[in-house]
Amino acid sequence: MNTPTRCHPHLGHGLGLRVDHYEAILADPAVPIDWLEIVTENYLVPGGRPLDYLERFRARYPLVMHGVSLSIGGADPLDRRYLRDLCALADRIEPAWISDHLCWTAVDGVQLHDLLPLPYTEEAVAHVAARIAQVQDAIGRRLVLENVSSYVAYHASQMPEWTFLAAVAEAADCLILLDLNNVYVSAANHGFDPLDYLAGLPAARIQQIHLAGHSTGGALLIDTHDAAIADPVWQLYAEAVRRYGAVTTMIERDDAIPPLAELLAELSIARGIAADAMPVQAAA
Amino acid sequence: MNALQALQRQFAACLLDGDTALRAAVCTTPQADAAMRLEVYAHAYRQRLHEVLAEEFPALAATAGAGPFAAWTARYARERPSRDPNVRWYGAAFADWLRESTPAQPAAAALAGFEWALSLAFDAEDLPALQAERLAALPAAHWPHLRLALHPQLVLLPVAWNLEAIRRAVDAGQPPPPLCEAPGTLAIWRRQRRVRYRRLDAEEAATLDLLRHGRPFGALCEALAGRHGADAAPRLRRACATGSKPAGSPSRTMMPPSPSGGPHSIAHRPTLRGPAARSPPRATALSLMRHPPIEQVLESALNGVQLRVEIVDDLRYCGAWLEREPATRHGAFHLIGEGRCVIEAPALGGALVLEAGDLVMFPHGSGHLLRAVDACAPAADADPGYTSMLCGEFAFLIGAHNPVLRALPDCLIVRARDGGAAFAHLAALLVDTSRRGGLGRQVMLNTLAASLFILAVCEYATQNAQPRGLFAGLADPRIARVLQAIHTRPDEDWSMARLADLAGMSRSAFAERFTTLLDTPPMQYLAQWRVSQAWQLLRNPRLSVAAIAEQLGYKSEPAFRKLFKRLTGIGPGKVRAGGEDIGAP
Repeated sequence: MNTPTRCHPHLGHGLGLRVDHYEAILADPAVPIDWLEIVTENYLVPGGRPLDYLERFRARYPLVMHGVSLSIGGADPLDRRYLRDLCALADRIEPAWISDHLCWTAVDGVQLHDLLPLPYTEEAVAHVAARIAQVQDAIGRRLVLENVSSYVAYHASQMPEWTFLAAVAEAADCLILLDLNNVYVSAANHGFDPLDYLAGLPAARIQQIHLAGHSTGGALLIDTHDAAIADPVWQLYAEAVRRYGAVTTMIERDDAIPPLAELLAELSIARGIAADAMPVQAAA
Repeated sequence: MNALQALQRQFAACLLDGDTALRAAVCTTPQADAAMRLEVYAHAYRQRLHEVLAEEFPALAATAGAGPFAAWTARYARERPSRDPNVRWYGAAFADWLRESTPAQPAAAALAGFEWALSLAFDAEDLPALQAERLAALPAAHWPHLRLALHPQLVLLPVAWNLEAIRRAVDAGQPPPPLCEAPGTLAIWRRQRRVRYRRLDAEEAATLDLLRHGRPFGALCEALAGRHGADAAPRLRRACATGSKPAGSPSRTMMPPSPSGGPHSIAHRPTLRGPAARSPPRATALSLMRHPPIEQVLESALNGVQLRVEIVDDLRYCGAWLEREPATRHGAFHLIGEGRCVIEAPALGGALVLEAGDLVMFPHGSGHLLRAVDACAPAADADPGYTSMLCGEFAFLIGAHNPVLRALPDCLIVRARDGGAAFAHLAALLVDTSRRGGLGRQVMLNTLAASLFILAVCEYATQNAQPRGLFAGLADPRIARVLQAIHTRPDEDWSMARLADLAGMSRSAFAERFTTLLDTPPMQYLAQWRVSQAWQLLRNPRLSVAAIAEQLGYKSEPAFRKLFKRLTGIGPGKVRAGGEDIGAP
């Protein structure tokens, strides 16, 4: 077995880069953001304002590329053109790492533009692991994959989600982006204990943590990224830091985007929780 | 079909067509049944695609009304499922689809077409525009024959309605005016990261149309003079006013506000929420010529190259022949006159057949082998049965350390079929001059060979897929900007911080990238470039060394002398005294 290690650097506490905050971030060189995560697809364009701004942010902050359409779990062949564009952008901005989601997004060439859940089967583990190897060869680095929130579970599934995630990461020797809000949302929607989820993951493969808000849609929780981080998710964050140590963390907000100061306040809470929860280094 | 693919197809059918087969594969719990769970995805799918179009086509959404617009987006989602992984391109076919699907409402399709053109302009490739200074520097005699090209991103959109007024109102958060007929042409372009649009008056549209069809400046003047007599010049300047002036610099030849007011601009792509910015009435930029950094950098670098060419052989081979050429200090080339031959060189990784008119060049003088084509190889129709070629050596009188030369590969081949008409003419003339002999032969050969060399270099610079050195730097837009600045303005007070800023990179990332590509750290490259410029200037006896130092941005003459000597091995005074050309930078 490979010795799992976080090969990518620890970046601290960052934010998802959103257009609404471009100027506010650039205006203040002392803004307490350690790094920025970009949604890759927003910058897979020929030129203009998006890439122009990206160059400016890249000069000041470590960047991470976070994609939404790799379709690593899809049955279609990998989209070579997309991979080529991905590599070209990575060559240009030199991200600290490249992440996407453990899900599928297209079938028969039709793009569904959503992060759709996989059945948790041995067949799917093998299928996804083989594709991750292809992607890692193309991008020349280890891929970081995020757990998605979900609203359906398939009869075909043979194992819990966390076992599936861990098995894929081991089989493909890739890294994990653990979205704690997604863990919480899925736990509520499928009736499992989020602490079992955290306990089931290989600690050394957890490269990054996502924090976000969600909303309640009738009987189910919906992962909307349009609200403040909920208390149970903060508690999961403390638990995650206790289990995994200091992990690069960021806050995702995609809708109802508040002024930057509000997100900075949340970031400061995250820093505080991380500092309090860090396991004390026992004297030898 | 495996189980995973079958499941994913069922899922897609559920989202696209409301198919219910997937329900059997999904768990029902007391909390929510399978149908309710799947509806979360189906709802999100419809909603997301609708929102993408609503943000991309805000004026159409506002004029059509919420109900009809939603009906369109729902039908479009069913009939034109998204095929690009990036949802940014989902709206690409919407205008066409409307044109086919709502033939009774042609204005809806036209408005969608206009809004999509705005969207495309927002993140189109960054291509530089012609600078006013460059036009101003043209000798007056060139103007009548000057052909300007429209900037590739300027869109001239013929319209039949007041589409731009509708969009302007919607962007300003006001109720759109009623649709009314207003035939004309809209111009859409981007400047300083803002998308701009404006209606052209009939005359501007006609002038730009002439320009688009490649008519020279003189013809544009005549067309305008026919209508306006002596008044034509300012009107033409107006139509040809150029952009890309540094912000804050005075604009002299710019366009007055058009009758309908200044252009309207969009700072964000329509898909992004927030009020669209409007700009004050001001000059506009329409006629633009592609002028990339590679052109300026190559021209400035090649300007410093002086070749001495010697045609050493004019050979004719037949039968089975073989010629082994050892490595030399000089560059070598062979120009195939008639027939064919095989070239073998380590840099080629094997044997290649050269045809009549092909040029093979060894800029660094590496060894190679020429031989007859195998007898069994298929011969071209017009194979003369022998092979003739012009063999030459070339040395660089000035510029052996030139960044262009350093970036050339060990072996460079230009095929007659790829080289274009100029290459073919020049090659023929070179062969002819060599054979004809007579007065001035050697000087003419030198000049022709230098031109052929420059054509070959330019062909290589633009066609080569795996560039190295300077060409690799030019292929990276960030580094290209820096190279352009160094080459065109060596006298500026450059620092690492300023160069990194220009590249839009951190200092360390910039230094690393530049050094990897160019094999030279940025400040050293700058120093070498300045010294090579100095070498040329020193040949002008009217310029003092102090004046040259100043021209190249050195604050003190002794510092310049010291640097010059360190990089070239000799002092500027010796260069001035003459006879120190070989091996110059």
